[in-house]
Amino acid sequence: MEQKKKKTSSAKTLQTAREAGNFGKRILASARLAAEEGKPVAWSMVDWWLGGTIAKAIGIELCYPENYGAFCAAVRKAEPFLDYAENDGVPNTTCGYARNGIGYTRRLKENNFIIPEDAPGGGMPKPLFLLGCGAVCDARYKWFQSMGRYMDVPVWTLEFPQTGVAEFFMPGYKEENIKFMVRELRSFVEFLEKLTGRKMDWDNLSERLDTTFKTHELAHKVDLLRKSVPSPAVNTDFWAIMIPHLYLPDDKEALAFYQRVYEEVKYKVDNKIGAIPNEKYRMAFAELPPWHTLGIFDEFAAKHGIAFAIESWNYHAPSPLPESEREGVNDPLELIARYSFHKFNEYTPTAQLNCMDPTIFTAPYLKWVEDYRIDGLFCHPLLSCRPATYTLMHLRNLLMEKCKVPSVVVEGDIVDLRVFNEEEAHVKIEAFIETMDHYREIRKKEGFEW
Amino acid sequence: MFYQAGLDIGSFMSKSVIIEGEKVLSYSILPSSGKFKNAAITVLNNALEKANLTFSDLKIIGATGLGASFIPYPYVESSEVSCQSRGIKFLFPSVNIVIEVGDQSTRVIKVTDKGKVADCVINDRCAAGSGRILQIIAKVLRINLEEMGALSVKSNNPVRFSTGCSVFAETEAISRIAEGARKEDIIAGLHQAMAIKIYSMIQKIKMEEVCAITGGGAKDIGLVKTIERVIKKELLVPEEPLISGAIGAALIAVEKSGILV
Repeated sequence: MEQKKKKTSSAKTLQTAREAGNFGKRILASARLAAEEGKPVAWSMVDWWLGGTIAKAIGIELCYPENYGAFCAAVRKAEPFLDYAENDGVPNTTCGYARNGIGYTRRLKENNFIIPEDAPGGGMPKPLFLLGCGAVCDARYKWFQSMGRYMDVPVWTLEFPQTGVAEFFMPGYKEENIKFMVRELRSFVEFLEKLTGRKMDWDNLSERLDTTFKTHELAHKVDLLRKSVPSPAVNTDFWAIMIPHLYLPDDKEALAFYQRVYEEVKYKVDNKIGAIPNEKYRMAFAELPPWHTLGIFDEFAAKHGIAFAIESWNYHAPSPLPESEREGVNDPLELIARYSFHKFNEYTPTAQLNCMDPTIFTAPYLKWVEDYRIDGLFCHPLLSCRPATYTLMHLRNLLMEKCKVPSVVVEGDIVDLRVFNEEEAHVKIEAFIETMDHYREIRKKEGFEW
Repeated sequence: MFYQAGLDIGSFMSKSVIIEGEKVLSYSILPSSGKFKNAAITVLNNALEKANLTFSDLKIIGATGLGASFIPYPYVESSEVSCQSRGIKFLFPSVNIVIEVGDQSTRVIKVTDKGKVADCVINDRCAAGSGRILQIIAKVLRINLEEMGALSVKSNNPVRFSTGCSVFAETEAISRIAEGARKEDIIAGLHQAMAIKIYSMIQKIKMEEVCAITGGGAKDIGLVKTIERVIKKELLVPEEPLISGAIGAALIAVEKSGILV
């Protein structure tokens, strides 16, 4: 009997989500073209502090090792890079993105910085410098430092403060932080000017910021639309459409794309068209996805009617910066500082309300389970990622204690297919269906609204 | 008469039950031997024969287990966890937690008043906590699986297994044999390691009043006694622990079909 080939990637439910992958390919192609033309190229981390936007405003083309790691995993070509990094002494408990990036960098170096022919997606060209940042993750410092050493290129780390809930409410805390962040960003601009010999184009930066705010606002509106029942889009859609708003929010094409995403999702909400045909359960996903096996969520949907209505706090655009924060701010760096501060602290009041710490990776879900009428949380702890894992047990307990929302734990990795057990995930989800039913009854009895 | 059948086609053993109303009329158990289809047909026929019934008397078949997809008859499939949960509640209505020590995995399930799954922890990545390790060590010690329990309770000096991995445990067992450790002590040490692992699973879903144990591991008196000692609680043990999943499969099949019995 002929065995039907199992699909590992997700089919996605939004038309726009199916098109979003082109942005990822464009990022890589643009970087290679720039390198060929002798223009400056850098590798950057995910753009939470908008350091990438600043670099682009001065004329630097960027590509993103994290995105590249996810891409290599999705096409199931990450393992050779992981092995290559591990062969050089990198422990297999190090971040999957980092191992993929280090393995790729080692190969690039050994190939005299000519991109290997078999590099997935065409590969990333040698950078002029590396732009790291300490947001949410400690492996990021060492990972970029390591790649910097392989290639003998400078590394700039954007470091912003992240403190606890109690500190957030201390008098003067916010303004002191903003001042510090602006100083950091100004130093970064000086570094770029010195490195490239170019002057910062402040008008270009302001224009890019304006586009970023518009793109992010649309992305945020899409998130709000997803509260609808049935859910108009699911996690696999989001993880595709996030590419433009995470990496290219300052790009006019990304803005136009997001307008189309918004219109598609709005149409589905207005006409009560669900992302999956028979939505029975609404789940949330925490935190980083198994890029190598996204097709499994299609299987959960088909088999059990599970719609993943919300997911991965750290990838979502924040709510728009309040007008009061923007008024009278003419310095684009201060605007960036205020916006980044807003992104990382907007759920602090929720955290305070629930007497909990830390805010990130936990507090958003407490709000989301109610807003998105969540029946259960899918926890994906990663052996190779402490920040996105250590909060999960805390989060599970909080959701159960405060909202009577149960959770299921399926271990794995973002990139490393070798530690993900697909069958285990199916068995656990099958069992979890009854658990969600049980807690639905309990929430009903205890007067919860969903 | 409404006769329902439940099949649990596991990786190691295949089990079937015939139920009428609240009564288990008959059951059959035999090794799957890697031939799931044959095992399913034979184990069902055996149970039907014991109940003096034929296939045409059956109104519905419920099934679960790794090999369920090989069953050549129409059936209603349910998850193994749900089946264990429902089956154990049928056998022990007061139960809150069930520990299932199967061949491929160990599961700790919190059971609702209606026999549904309130929560569950599964250890299916690592054979060290499952029935598979018992088979591995029995082979190393050249004894039958059934002998392990009786030997374990005779131990007064359990060896300490320093590893949580079944592959390493096998190596450790061989080393202990070479050092002259008694079989009883090796088995008791293995049971102790498994019991600690299971206890940590129970802690994840929080201990409840009434606990039961089922699956192949429940037939090992040494393991049962050791778990009782570690968790400081008596365990309810079914008369035939291997059939609780098949019972659950039969019961859930009726629920899912909406047939009024």
